[in-house]
Amino acid sequence: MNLFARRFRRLVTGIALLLPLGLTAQPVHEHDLKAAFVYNFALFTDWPADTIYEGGTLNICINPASALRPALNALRDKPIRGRRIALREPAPGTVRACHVLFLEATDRRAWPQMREALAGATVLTVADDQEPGLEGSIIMLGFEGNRIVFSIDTRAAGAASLILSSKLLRLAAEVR
Amino acid sequence: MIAPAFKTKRARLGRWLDLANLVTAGAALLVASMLLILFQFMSLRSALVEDVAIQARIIGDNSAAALMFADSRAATETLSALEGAPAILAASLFPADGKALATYRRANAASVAAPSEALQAAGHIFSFNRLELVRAVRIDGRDLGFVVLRASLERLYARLIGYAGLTLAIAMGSLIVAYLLVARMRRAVKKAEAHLEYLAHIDPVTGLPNRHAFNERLAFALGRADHAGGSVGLLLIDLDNFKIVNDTLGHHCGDRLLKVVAQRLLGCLRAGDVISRIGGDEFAVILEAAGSADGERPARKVLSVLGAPFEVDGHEIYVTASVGISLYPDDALDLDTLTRNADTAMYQAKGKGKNGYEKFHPELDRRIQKRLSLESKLRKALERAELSLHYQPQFRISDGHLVGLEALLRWDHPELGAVSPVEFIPVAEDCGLIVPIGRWVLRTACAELAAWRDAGFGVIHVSVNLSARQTRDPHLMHDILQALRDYKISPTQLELEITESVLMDNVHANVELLHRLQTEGIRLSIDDFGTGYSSMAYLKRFPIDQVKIDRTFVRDIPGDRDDEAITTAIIAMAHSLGLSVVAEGVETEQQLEFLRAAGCDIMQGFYFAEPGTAEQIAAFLGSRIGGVKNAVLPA
Repeated sequence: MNLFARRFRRLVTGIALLLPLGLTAQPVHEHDLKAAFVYNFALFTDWPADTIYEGGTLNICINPASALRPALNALRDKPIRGRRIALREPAPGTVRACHVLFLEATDRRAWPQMREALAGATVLTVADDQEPGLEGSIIMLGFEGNRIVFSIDTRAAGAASLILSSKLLRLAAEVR
Repeated sequence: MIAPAFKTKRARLGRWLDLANLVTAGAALLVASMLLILFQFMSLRSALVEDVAIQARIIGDNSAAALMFADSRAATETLSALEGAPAILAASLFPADGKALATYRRANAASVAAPSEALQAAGHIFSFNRLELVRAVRIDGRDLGFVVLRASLERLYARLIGYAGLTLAIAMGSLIVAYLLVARMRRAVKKAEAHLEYLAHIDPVTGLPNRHAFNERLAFALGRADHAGGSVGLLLIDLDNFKIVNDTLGHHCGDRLLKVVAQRLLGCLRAGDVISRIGGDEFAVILEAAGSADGERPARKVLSVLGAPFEVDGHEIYVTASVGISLYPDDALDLDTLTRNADTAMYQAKGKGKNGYEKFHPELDRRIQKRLSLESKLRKALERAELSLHYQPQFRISDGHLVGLEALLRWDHPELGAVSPVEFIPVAEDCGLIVPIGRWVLRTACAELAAWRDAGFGVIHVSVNLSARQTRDPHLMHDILQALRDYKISPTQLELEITESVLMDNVHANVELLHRLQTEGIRLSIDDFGTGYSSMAYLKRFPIDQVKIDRTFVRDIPGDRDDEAITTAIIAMAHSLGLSVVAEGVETEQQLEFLRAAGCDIMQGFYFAEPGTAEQIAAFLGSRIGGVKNAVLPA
């Protein structure tokens, strides 16, 4: 019981960092929310057993200029399945080493080349907004009123050999 | 039979025991039932906690993602699955910051609040009718928040009440069944006990209490007399001629007679008097009522009701009884003495000619004591050779010749001196000593006859008396023949004298015995003729050689016209039947002359010769040989 109680107390104090999501979203900045979404997606995704983790880190590739980067950077000390998070810059040559690839409007130009490079790679691609030109990513973020929602392309996930938790699928606004 | 006071006391005690048993068994069952119910309650509770915990876990797992993405809609949807669990009243999903993300409420139940520290510490808390349970929601080893469920205990209580009802009903049922079984068994045992008690205390023939019951009742009556004062009378009633009824009409008829006698006795006694059958033909009456305690009035009543003839199986039977009366505490201070005294009195009544009653008095007791001491002395008399035979010569009247000797038993006790046969023969007869004594007499007589023969005194005849008891001794015939053979005495030298009453005691057996004796050549004589039945018929029926006129008739002749007539008649009758006649107790010349005139054959008495010892008789016999013939016979 004691252990249980202690765990609960720890939960109460540490929870603000772990779960930076507020439904009203008003006091929290949109970038922080999106960064938390990305982080949570990684949490509900199963990579194949033979996935390579160079340096033991789970690599989240994001454009160095992205507004989400500081927020994601803040989550670096929150390991996922025991692996620390590392932020990388996506480049067509090294993109296969990414585990999560976050794409936004600025990446639209590089996307077709990267998409080719990614063929068959076990990379969870998350596209911000429903930007035209980022077609083919596995998860797409969007807005419904002032609520952040997401849709999932299960075919793309299957092509990347990733398994997304049914819990995640249930929360998706659209599953294709 | 147990006195009624004991019985009710015992019955009351029995009922108390029954009740106590029932209460104890009921209490034990109740405690057992309570423990079962309590156990059931505990297990139902822990089962409920388990159920609710599982549900919390399922909810937690399914809503982890919703909690993570703060998706209230998805979380509410997950919670709404709880509609399928009727025990759950309300549930909420809390993120770590404490504000409910989703809530579920059944009907109009209150929603659950954020878990208190205590609830979080305990995991679950029971209130009277609620269970609140909290479980953490975790993912990837991290706590996201918690799910809180509130379950109603109503269903638990309903099930518990059902279970309790069933348990108590079963306990009650088994108690009733056990009670009925035990009661049935107890009834059977009681019935068996009552039957055993009946068998142990009731005489089956008459339905009266038996000796065992009589002793209990008497002891009870004496105890009551001790406490409450007053006296107790005891009547012992012995039927005088019951044995004859049994012998001649059979046991079945005897039993029937006893039954009607018992009924008549019951009818004539008062309600408080207790009558029991304590022996074959013996009844006892306990008189507790003070008025009748002197016992004479009830005794007279008993004799008078038995006076009327009894009708049994078509036979008209006359029954007389001898009654002995003894009083407590006047005559005896304990039960044994009281009964013995009544017995003594009863035998006294019998001795006085039966069909009467006798009250116990101390003189009777002394007589009994004397008789007992006589008996014990008599037992030793044979061993110590205190017995001896005297002989009284018998002479033929016509010529004064000695025809024989009557052997007379004498007992010379070192302290008591010479004890009269009138005193000790009945004692010997009663205690059975007469059989060995009779055998001794026969052998001694034969031995002395042989001695006289060897001394050259010629062939002497001797007559020996046979008692009633001896005639019933199966070895009698053998003993007689053995004695004759041992001393080489001819059977014709022996004459056996039997009294009328002995002959009549068992007519059938005696006729046979006498015939066998006569076949052996032994002479038979009827002793004390005229005092008993004096039946002409048996004179013809028994193989008799001689009749002896009783000394009571001889005593008053001549002079008493009646005795003269009887004596003359006996002599005439005996002669006409071909029997010889002996007169005993002849003491005077007048008697001798009368008897001679009447034609009497043989005389015996002081007038001729006193009884003498064997030595004296030997001397007498020797003198006769020596020429002084009939020295003692005058005229």
